[in-house]
Amino acid sequence: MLLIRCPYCGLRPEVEFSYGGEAHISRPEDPNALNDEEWGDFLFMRANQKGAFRERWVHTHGCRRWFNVLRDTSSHEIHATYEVGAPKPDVPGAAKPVRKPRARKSAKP
Amino acid sequence: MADITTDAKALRVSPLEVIGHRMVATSSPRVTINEIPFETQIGLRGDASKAAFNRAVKSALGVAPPKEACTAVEAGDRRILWLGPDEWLAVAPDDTGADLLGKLEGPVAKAGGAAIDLTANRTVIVVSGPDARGVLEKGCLHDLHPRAFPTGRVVGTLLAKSQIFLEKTGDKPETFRLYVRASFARHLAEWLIDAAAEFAA
Ligand SMILES: [Zn+2]
Repeated sequence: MLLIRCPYCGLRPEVEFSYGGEAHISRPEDPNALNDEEWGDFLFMRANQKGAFRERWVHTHGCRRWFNVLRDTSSHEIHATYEVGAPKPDVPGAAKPVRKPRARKSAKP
Repeated sequence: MADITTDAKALRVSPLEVIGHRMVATSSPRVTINEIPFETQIGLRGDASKAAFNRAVKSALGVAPPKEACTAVEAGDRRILWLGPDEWLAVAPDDTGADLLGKLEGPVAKAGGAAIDLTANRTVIVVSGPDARGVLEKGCLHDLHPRAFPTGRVVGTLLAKSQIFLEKTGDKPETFRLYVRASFARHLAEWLIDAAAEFAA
């Protein structure tokens, strides 16, 4: 079982949390301006990358707050947890910050 | 002629009333299990950095909401549990709800927060005695040793797969209050009775 550091409650067992998928994906300001492919990208396309990954978790059975986790998807090592809206912590040892999820080229309407 | 009561208080049944006698039967000098039914519970939301919010809570309950995460404060027969960075649970004896809500609702709302009656949401189970910790440790992932879980600590967690708020209220003997949702209370009480059986004299 993972031990996850809730930014509010401290180190807690994984069963108290729920997973919320990739972090830092914001809803388009004007959904009507998007074509179907772009809307599909927003809804369904995720980076699913190997290595350091920024993802959302919620402390379901504790304080019920959402927050972000920087976790290595191959080793499960948790590099950092941080509040929503807080600056993104760097990946230890990485020259560049985590690669942004692919921006698929899609034709404008 | 039969008397038909319309007094809601005389008719109400707490979640664990039906197995109260079994909780008593399992209790021993090593560990006791009791329900405290109908405790008044009021959910508080607000910004603890705002003086007006703290004042509103303090004037109604006698104590301001604790700012330190995972702690509870006591003032006489009232207590406030930290549940989240902007969320608390005020707990008081049965029958004080209407009075407290009357004092809290307006001033807390004015301070940008909210006070809501949550009394029927959870019931309280008190587990106390030299082996209270031993009983809870069978199903709780937290380190309950006093060095890690001192009096005044409260956590939202799982016990026997049920979500509870677990509050440590005393050391001599070790005493814990378990706030469990009404629909999970029977399951949790059955689990506690089973877990405590080996300590019965
Ligand atoms: Zn938390």
